[in-house]
Amino acid sequence: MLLQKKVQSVRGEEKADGATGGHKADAGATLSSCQRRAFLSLGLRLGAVCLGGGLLSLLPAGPAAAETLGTGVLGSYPFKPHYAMLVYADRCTGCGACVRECHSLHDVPSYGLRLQILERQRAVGDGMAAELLHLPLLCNQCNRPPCVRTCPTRALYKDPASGIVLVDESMCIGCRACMSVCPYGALYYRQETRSVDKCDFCYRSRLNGGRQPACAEVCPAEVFYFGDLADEGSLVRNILRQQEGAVTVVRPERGTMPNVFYMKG
Amino acid sequence: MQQRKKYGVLEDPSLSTPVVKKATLVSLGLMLVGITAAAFAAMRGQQFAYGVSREVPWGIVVAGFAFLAPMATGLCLVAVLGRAFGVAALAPLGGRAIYLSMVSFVAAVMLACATVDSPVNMLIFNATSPNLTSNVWWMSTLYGIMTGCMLFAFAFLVGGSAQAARNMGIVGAVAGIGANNNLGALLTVAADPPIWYGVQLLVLLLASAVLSGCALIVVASIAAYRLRQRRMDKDTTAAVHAAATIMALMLAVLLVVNVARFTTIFTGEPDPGAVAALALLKGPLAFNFWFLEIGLGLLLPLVLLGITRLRNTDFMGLAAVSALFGCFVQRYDVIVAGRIVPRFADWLPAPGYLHYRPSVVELLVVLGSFGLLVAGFLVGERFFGKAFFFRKESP
Repeated sequence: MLLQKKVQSVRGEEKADGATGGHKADAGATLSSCQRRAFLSLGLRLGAVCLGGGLLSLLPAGPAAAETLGTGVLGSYPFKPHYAMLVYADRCTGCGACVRECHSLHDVPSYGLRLQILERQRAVGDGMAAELLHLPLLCNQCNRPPCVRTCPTRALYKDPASGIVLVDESMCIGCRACMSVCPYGALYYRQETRSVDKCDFCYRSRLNGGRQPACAEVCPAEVFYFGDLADEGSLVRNILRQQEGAVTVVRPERGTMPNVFYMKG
Repeated sequence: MQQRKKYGVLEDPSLSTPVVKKATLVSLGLMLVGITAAAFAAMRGQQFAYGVSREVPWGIVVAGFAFLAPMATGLCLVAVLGRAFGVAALAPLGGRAIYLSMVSFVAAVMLACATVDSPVNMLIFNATSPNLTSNVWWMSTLYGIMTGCMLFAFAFLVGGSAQAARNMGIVGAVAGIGANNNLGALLTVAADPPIWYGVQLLVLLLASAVLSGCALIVVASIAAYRLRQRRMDKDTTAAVHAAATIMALMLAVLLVVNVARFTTIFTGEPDPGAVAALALLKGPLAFNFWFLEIGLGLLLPLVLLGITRLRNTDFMGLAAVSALFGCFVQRYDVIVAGRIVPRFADWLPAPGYLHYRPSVVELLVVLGSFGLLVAGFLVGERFFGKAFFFRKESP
């Protein structure tokens, strides 16, 4: 009986609190039960809203699981043919023939580039001239391409037939998100076509006609070796398989699984 | 016989003054200048009209978007707190917050259209060829849902359907937080190297969104009463004080988050973001970071709110303007610092940090979006003004 009376008295107090907007406790230092419950309820509801919003941010990550089809530096090759480029960077003299041929073939404007050669000097010893190193850099046709993942309209896509990352110029909105996320700086925005442009291993201009990419064909120092990793007779596949320990890729920490490999020799 | 001028149901005749009309025209003029500048950039090419390049493809226009869109989320949350979650003190600001949330997002859309080269393609292919793995796609879609919900919430509010307005507000807030998080994820992926990773940036952006939302509603409420040359009523004063309290809390959170991040980045394992952080601490963005972002954006408003003990409305307004400015600079710093570090720093050509300076065209575009925001505010106060004044709902 006593407990029942106490509950009724608390309920009465809460009703009074509610009627006055819950300000009754202002006079004292303690919160009323009603205020405490209202505060906790607010926290729970706000937490639910934030959690709901937080879960929405996971949505883009779901289908990304399919991207794990890609391989490590070397492994199985999900595309047939699975095109790749092997670059002997230390053979490069920086003559620029590959860049000129590529840019001439694809009519690349002066502000853009599909292929670039980075340079750096390395000291080799006292009194000796510094050694000039070169690094030819092109689109890595990644198995987990961040540009494809980021493009909001699927203008960039991984060609299911060849594994090459291609651009559908008509669908590009020019948001430049792909340029921002590419770890290799391989894309540029081409004003003339109002679309991003990048190396496609000469897929449209030469590969479809059975020819090698222009850079591989024109290089006098035989820096570039192009081939199909899914083809057991391919020279590139055999070199990569035999010398797996010596093969590197550019920026492996980004986890993009590139299809452009680098070796010395 | 002189014919009496007819006013709309929600129109506030007290704002039909030459000053308000002139201010509205000036703001609309600024907006037109911004739109013209954006059209010029679209025709000429952004790499020629803007200060952006292949290496630094995003600049102050994207920073403006990343400032205005989270601010819309923050305003949505302020509205929801007051209208749907029973934080009675904030309720008088609900109507104005919902309206300003929509206006902020429209201003953000203006900048988004100025950022992309083909806004028409954006509208068509976002709908017909969505990429469900893209943070950009989810961000734009969820912001769109949030704004749609705010539009309906405003319509329900004006129509007197408080419950429907509340529900719309809650759905809008969930979508807004999702959009905000996707923006954070995009900024993390796009920064190379990133200073802020995953959850860090999400906390930073959410706190910053609430801060900018509260700051704008404080400024807008003070301006609304000044324009009408009326003293702020007791309920609204209490609401502005409550918003300023949340603002102070968010300023403190951001200060702690900043101190924590910038101390941990240089301790323990080598952090790739350290190079980008150095650009802020003592590199080309040091003035922005120390003076504008930390000094004007965080410390000054905290001091102003602290010394007046959240009692002086004028100082609250000043603190809010300062905080808004700081938020904008913070977004600029996050975007630019992640891009001006060369990807291949050991290789030539790599002249230390890469160069980016906003062009006049870019500044005009951003100014135009702020013109739209101010014009939207003035038009709203004049034509929907009566909807912004709090009427206590019957129990």
